[in-house]
Amino acid sequence: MKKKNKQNMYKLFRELSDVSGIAEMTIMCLESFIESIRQLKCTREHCDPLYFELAETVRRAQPNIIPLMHLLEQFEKEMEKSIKPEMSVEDVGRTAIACLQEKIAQFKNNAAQVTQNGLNYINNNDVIIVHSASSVVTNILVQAKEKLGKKFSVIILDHNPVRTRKTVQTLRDADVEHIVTPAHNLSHYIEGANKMFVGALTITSDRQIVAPTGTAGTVSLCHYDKIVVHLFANTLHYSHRKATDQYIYKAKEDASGANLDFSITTHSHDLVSLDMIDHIITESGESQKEA
Amino acid sequence: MEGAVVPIIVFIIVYIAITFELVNKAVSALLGVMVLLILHVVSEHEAVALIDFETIMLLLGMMSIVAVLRKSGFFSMLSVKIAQLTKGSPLKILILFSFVTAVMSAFLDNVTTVLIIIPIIIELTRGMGLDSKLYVISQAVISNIGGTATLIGDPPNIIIGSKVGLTFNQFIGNLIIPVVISFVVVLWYMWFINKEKFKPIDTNMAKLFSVQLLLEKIRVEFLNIKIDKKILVKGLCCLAITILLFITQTITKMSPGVVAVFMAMILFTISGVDVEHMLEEVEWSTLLFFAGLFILVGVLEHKGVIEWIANNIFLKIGDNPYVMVLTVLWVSGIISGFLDNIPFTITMIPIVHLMLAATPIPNNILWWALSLGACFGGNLTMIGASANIVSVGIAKQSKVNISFLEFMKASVVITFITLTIASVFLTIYLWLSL
Repeated sequence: MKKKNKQNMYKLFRELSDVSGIAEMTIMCLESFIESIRQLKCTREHCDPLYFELAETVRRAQPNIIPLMHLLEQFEKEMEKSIKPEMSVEDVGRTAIACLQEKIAQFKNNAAQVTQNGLNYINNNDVIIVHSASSVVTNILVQAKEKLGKKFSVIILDHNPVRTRKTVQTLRDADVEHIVTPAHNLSHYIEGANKMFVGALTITSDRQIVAPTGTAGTVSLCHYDKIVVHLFANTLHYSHRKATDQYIYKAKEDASGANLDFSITTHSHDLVSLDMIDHIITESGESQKEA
Repeated sequence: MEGAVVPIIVFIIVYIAITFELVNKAVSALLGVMVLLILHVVSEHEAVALIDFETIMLLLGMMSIVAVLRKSGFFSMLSVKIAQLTKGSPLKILILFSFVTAVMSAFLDNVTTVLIIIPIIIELTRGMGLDSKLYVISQAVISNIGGTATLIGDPPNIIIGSKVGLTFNQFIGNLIIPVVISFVVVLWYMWFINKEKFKPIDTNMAKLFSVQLLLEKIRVEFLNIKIDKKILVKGLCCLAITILLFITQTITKMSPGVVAVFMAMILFTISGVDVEHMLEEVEWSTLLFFAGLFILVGVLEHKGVIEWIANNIFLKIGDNPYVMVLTVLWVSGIISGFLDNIPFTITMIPIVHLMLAATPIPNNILWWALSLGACFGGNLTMIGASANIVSVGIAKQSKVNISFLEFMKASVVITFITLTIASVFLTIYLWLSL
């Protein structure tokens, strides 16, 4: 695959994860993989190398998308076992699609279980801070209101306009009481809050979480003010590598102001120490930070 | 032409300011009017009487209906659906988006159409690594071609229809043939000269995958507003009734301006939208620009300047109807390419009236020549039509920079093709009518 195509793809990953969150993006990627297999026109000899090439390219995304990486590693292993030389292009395609559909089901099942476990962490009169709410976090909030009838309110920290609108829409539809404020204004609301819910792209082997930009500052402030921080992530988000090996994307852009030209360096994601997280909730329930 | 010097000077200065965008268009036109009022060239009451309120009402009504439809999320939903239908095929992107742009431009205004289509087409083509410039230029050009088909599609048509009293059915009945032929030929030409850029992607796994993700991103980004089904249904019903009333204009005896404002007010009432907010969406600067221009041209007409231009330029070409029709078509086409086609059309209407008084031409063919020339001619340059300026502006915001020459490189041949098609059509039509 050409370097330019790879860069375009990785940029798309970053933009999508910004607006949709990592859980939704993982499912989108797997569904897009299925759709591209359906539309691909190729000969038998080219088809599985093309599948494997794409899987490998996606696995090497910058930053690494750990749940997707794990699922695609499983996909590659299963495909290597299942594909036989005598199979037709259609059969290989069908096998690959079935395998990917199974991965989607596995991921959705894990996420549903995290949501179910997360419901135990919402009580009446809670005031919960959310920053770049992942779909798991919004599902927990919605289900706590709709299924359990819990009375709580949410402080949505505006960081990305598209994502904020999406969160507001979801909470409004579920009739969850909420206010929206810019993330940098949190200090004015911190005294009224008692919990913070956060999702993560990755939990690294050196006890860091890779999360959307702005999360680190918010979590630090919450930690300092003794607000209990809950991290909701299924175990597919666990990486066996360190934070420095996650390929967090760094971009340098030119800027200017008042006749002064300078460049701004931005990172695609934040790193947050697990020490500042009070509870980690996975599909198996609450997990120990040391584990 | 007694006392014509001041209005001529004012008119030329305003025209220059509008063409080169030195000052806001509405401000230029109204400043010109104010100078005429201060110098007592015209009185306030005379000035107001020169405004064609039929045109203003039609624009106001349609802008209001479009504002409500936009609020419902209809346009975003439509463009996302089209993007998904293309499945990332470069040729399908061109054809499907062009079709939607042409139809939308015919029934809504061109600027609204490109404001909706261009951002999504840039997002799609840039994400796929395609040449976004080609698609931006194509949609601007197609919006001008599509808008030519109806009375409400393009400002020159609104002005001609209102000032001359031509109906919605007369416009669509007489102009649909050259418009459809031009649409097909222009698309074919764009494909023919850019064949390499329209190759299918179904053998490239990475591109197929990226396109699927891109379509998801577009869905998330452009459909982030909730579709309000109640407003959507009411808006579409009102638009359909509006068009129906345009079509049955000869039976109902309701002018298009009255129909548009009436239906807009009905829609405001039944949709329960925040009217104050909706009225903010109306392009008041465009309406003021029109009002100002009507006064400026009206004063020139009263002072005999228009008659002088008609007698000394257009009536000099003789009384051969073929020459008259083709002259109006090509002169309108070329001038509209370099000057804004709205003031040009307003200026040309009294001239064409005088030409027709000298040599009557059947079936309003001279008016169709003016309409086709002013609308198709708007494609000649980046500044020829509002849709071109807006398209290039949106592209620039997305860091797709299209220079004046880049636009012209693609649009000159297209304008020549469309004006040639219009010439052939008008010649045959005239030959059959004589």
